[in-house]
Amino acid sequence: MTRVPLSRLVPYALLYCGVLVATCALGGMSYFHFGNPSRTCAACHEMTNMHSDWAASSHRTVQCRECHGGALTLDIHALQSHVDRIVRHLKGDPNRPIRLLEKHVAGLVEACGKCHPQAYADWQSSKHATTYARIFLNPEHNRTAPPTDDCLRCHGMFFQSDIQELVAKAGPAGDWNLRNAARANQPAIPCLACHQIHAVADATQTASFFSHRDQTHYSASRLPVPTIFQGDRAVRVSMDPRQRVCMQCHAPDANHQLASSDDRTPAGVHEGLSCRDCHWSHTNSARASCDACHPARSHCGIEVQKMDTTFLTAQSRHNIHTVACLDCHPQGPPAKRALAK
Amino acid sequence: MSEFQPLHRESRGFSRRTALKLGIVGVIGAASGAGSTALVAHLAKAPRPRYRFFTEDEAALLIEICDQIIPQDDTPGARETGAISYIDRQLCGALVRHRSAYRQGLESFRQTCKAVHGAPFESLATPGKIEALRLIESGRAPAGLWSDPSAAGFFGLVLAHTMQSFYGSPKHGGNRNYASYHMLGLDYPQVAGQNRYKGPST
Amino acid sequence: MSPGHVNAVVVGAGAGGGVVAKELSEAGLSVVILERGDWVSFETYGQDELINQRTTVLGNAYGPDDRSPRVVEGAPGNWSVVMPNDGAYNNNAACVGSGTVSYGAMAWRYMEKDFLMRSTYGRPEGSTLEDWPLTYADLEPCYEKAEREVGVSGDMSANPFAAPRRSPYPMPAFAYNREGVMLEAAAKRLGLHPFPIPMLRNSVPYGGRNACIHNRYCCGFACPNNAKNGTQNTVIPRAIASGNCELRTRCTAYEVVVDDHAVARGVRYFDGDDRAQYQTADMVVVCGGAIETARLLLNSKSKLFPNGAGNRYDWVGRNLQGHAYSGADGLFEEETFDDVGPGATVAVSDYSHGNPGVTGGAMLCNEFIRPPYGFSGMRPPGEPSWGKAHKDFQRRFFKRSVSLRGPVQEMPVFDVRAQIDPSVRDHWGIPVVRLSGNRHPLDIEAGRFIAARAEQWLRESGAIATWRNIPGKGAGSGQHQAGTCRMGSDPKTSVTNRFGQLHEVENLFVADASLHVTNGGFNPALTILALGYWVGGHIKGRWKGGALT
Repeated sequence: MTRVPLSRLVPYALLYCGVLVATCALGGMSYFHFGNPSRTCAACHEMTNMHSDWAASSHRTVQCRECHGGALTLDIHALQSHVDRIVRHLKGDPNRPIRLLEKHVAGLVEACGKCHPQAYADWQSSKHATTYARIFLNPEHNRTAPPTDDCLRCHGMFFQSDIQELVAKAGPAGDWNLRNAARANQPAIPCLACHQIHAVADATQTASFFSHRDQTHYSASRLPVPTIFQGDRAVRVSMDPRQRVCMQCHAPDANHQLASSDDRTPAGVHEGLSCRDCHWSHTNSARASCDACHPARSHCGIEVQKMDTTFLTAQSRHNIHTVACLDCHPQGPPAKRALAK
Repeated sequence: MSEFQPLHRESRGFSRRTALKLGIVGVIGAASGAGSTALVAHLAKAPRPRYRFFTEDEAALLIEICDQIIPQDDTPGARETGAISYIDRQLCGALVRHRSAYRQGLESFRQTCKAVHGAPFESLATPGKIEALRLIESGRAPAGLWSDPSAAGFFGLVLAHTMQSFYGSPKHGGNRNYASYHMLGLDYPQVAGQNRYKGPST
Repeated sequence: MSPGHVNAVVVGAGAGGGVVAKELSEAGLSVVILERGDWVSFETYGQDELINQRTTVLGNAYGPDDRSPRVVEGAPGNWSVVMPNDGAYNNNAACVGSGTVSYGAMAWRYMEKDFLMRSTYGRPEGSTLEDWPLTYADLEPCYEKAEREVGVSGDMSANPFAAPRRSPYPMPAFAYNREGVMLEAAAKRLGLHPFPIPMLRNSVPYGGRNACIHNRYCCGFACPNNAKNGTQNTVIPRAIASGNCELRTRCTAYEVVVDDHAVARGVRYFDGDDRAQYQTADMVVVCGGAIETARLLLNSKSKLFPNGAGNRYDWVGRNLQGHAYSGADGLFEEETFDDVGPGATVAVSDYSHGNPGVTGGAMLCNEFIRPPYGFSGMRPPGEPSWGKAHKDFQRRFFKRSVSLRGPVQEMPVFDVRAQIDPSVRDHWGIPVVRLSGNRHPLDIEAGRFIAARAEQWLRESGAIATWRNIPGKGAGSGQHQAGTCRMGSDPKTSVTNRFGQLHEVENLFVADASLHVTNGGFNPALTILALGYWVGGHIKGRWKGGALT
C-alpha cells in the first residue's frame, strides 16, 4: 500500500467532513421546516399553549412557517429569533413572552391579503391603511402635540421600543424624523392591530385589540364597555363587542364626556347604535348606511341623507354621531306627517 | 501553486468516484441530521414536570390553600385564575429567595394538618380548611413543627403572593383573563383618549 | 483612556443634579454628570402594578437592581442585608431623572416656618432641631425658577397659609376629581381651607410637552404622554443641548478624591463595563440623594479626612429624615371612584403649623388611585384579609373608599443615620450603607393628631367607616430621604455652609435633600429642585476667569 501524503489527505477529509456537516444541518433544518410542529417547536412547553390556540383557530390550515418563518426560510431575523428562543428554552428563562417581530407583522399584511383579498382591498381604501410617516411625521400635529409613548397605543403598536427610538426631533418645532427611514411606508395600523390570528374562530371574526403596553391581544368580548356621560347622564352604549375595539382608540378623555377627545359614541337620535351599524368593516365607510334603518324620507318628509348633518358635509354644525331632534327643532319635534308619495 | 497540481491532475477521478462517495456521505448526513433532531424532539415529548419548582404534591396542596385565600363564588378565585402558575413561575424569577420558605412551609403545613386535624388538608371540608388556615395565620400551630419559616410568616407569604397573582397583570402568570379587574368593574385597558383632537368631527 | 479634565463633575442626575448641571453648563462651564442608572421610559414596564416605584414586589422599575444591597437594623444590633425592592431599603430610583421620572409630582414650597423650626418650636429633647441657614425669602426666587423651568400647575389663592409668592404659577391648577369635589365641600364645612394640590405636571401643553391625559396610574410610573415634569425631560436635555454637558449613564461613583490641601480633584467611578475610571474636575457637586450622597462622602477617605470627606465632626449621614406619613382611610356608601387619574387633587394646610401641642405638622391631602393589589391590604382593624370576606370587601369598597395622608414633619434625630457597613460590599466592591435609628416620639404624636384630623374630615365627607394610620417607631426615610449633610453656619454641627459648600473643602458641594436641615411637612421634590438652583446660582456667581473665586 502506498502511503498517501498528508497534504493530499487533508483536503479530502475536510471535503467529506464539510459535506457531512452541511447535509446533516440541512437534514435537521428540513426536519424542522417541514415537520409536524407538535414534533418540533411546539414540543417545547413555551409553545404548547400557542400551538393549541392556533390548532383551534380558523387559521389552523395556515402553516406556522408562513407567518413565523421556518428553519429554511431565508430570513435572518426569523432565524435569529428562533435560535434565541431555543437558547432561552435551554437556559430555562421562564418569563419572556413569544412575539412576532415588527417586520413580520408588517409583512403579514400582504399574507393576509392573499386569502382575504376583499378585506385587504377594503382596508387599503380606508384611513386605517396609514403609514408610520403619515402618523408620526405630521408637522402640524407634532408642533402642538409632540410624539409620546402613548401614541404607540393606537399607532405603530408593534414597534418594539419606545417613542424615542422611533422618532427624533430634527429641528425647529414640528420637524421630526423616523430614526429608521425604511419604516416610513410600513403600515402603522396593520391587520394584527385588530385581529388575533390564533384566536378561536368566532373571536377572530369579531376582532381583538392589540395592547402595546401588555404586548398581547384582548378579545373584543373581554374589552370594557366604558360609561360615557352626556353632562351628568350616562349615555346608552351599544353592547356590540366589535365597538369595544373601536373605543380603545376612538376614546373619550378620562372624564368620559361624550364627544370629548376622539370619542364618537352615538348619542341623540342614534344613541345605542354600534359603530358597525353604520360603518363597514375595513373600509370604515358609512356610505349608504342610512338605508339600513331609515326610510328614504324622515318624519318631516326630508330625505335623511340630505339632512344638514356631518353625514352630508363635514362642515355641518350637526354631528351625525350626536345629532338630536332638538338640534333642528328647538320647539320640539313636529307631529309625524304623512309621508309624501 | 505547484502544491495544488497533484489534486488537479486527478480531477477526472474526483468527478466520478468522489462525487458518488460524497453523495453517500450527504445522504447519511441528511438522514442523521433529520434523525437526530427527530430524536431530540422525541426526548422533548417525554413527560415533563408540570411545574418549574413545585412537586405535584406541593402544588396540589398550595392550590388548595390559595383556593381558600381567594375562593371562587360567582366570580373566579385564585385557583381558577392561576395563582399556582404565578407563584411557581416567580419562584424561578423575582421571588427566588422564597423557595426554601415554600418547600419547608408546605411540609410543616402538611404535618400540622396531620397532627391537629388528623387528615390531609385537601380532604377537609371547607369550614375545616378555613379553621386550619386560621390556626396557621395566628401562629397557634404546634411550635415544634415550625421554625423557619414560622407558621404566621408562611401564611403571610402565601397570602401576599396569592393577592399578587390575583390582582397583578396576567403576564406574570395569574389573574387569568383579567378576572379580578372584571370583578371590580375596572375598565381594562383603561379607556382614556389623548385630548389631542378637541371636539367632535366626522 | 482617561476622559479629559472638566470644570465640574455632578454625581447623580436626579432632582438636584439635573438642575445644577443645567445651571452650570448654560453658564459656560464644562460639566460631566455621572449617573449610576440609565435612561428609562414608560415602555419598559408600562403600568405594571407589581413592578414600579411604589409597588416593587417583582422588582424596581427604575433601579437600582440587586447589585446594590444595603444593610438595615431591625431589632437593635440585628443587621440584615436587604435588596433595593425591599421596603426597608429606602430606595430612591436610580435612573436619569431619578425619582422625578416616576413621582406623584406634588410641587410644594415649604412654608416660612419650615425654615425656622428651632425658632418656632425650640429644641425638643432627643432631637437636633435647628433653623435653616437660609430663609424662605432667600429661596423664593429659586422656587419660582423651578416652577417655571420645570413646570408646575397650581393655584394657591384659596390657601391662606401659603408662603408669599411673587408671581403666579405658570399653569392653571388641575380640577378636582370626584373625591376632590366631595372633600372640598366637607373641608369647608369644617372651617378648613381646601385648595388644589400644585403639581409638576402639565394641566395645559407646556414647554413643548403635552397636557396630562389623566391616566389611572401616575405615581410610581413614568408618564406615557410626557406630561409629568422631571429633570429628565426638562433641565437635563437643556444641559445637554448647551453643548457643555456630557451625561454618562451606568457610571457608579465611589470616591471623591480630596488632596492634602483639602481640594477635591475629581471623582473615581466604575463605568458601564465595570472598569474603574477617574474624572478630574475643578469642582465636584454631589447629588446622589440623602443616603447615597452620605455614602459617597463617607467612602471618600483621605489624609485630611480619614472618616470621610466633610466628616471631621461626625455629622455626615446623621439626622436622616423622611416623613412620618399619617392619615386615615374611609369607606363610603356612594361611589367615590371616577377613574380620573392620578387621583390626588385636594389638600389643606391648616394642620401644617400653629396647632397647639403639635410640633410641626403636615399638609393633608387625598391619595393617588390605589391599584387593586394595594387596596387588598387596605382594611379596617379586625377585618379579615382573606377568604370570601376579602372578595366581598374588594367588590363593595374598591370604588367606595378614600384615603387621606399627610407627610408629617419629622424631628431630626442624631442617631437616625446612614453609615458605612464594615463588611458588606456591593457588586463593584464598594462598601454599602447601613441604616438605623428610631423616630422621635413627637413625630408619632404629630402623626396621631394628623390621623385624627383626617378621620374627622372623612366623617364629615360622609364616610360610613373610618380608621387611622399612625407611623411606627422605626425610622423610614424612603423617597423623601433628607438631612444627612445638613447646611449650617457652625462647622461643628453641620456639613456644608448655606450654599451647600463643604465647610472644609471649598470646591466640593452638595445639592440635594441631604442639605435639608428639616424636611417640612410637604413632599420635598420642589424644594430639592429649588436648592439645585440655589447652589448652582451660587457656584455661577463665584465662577470667574475659569476658576472658583
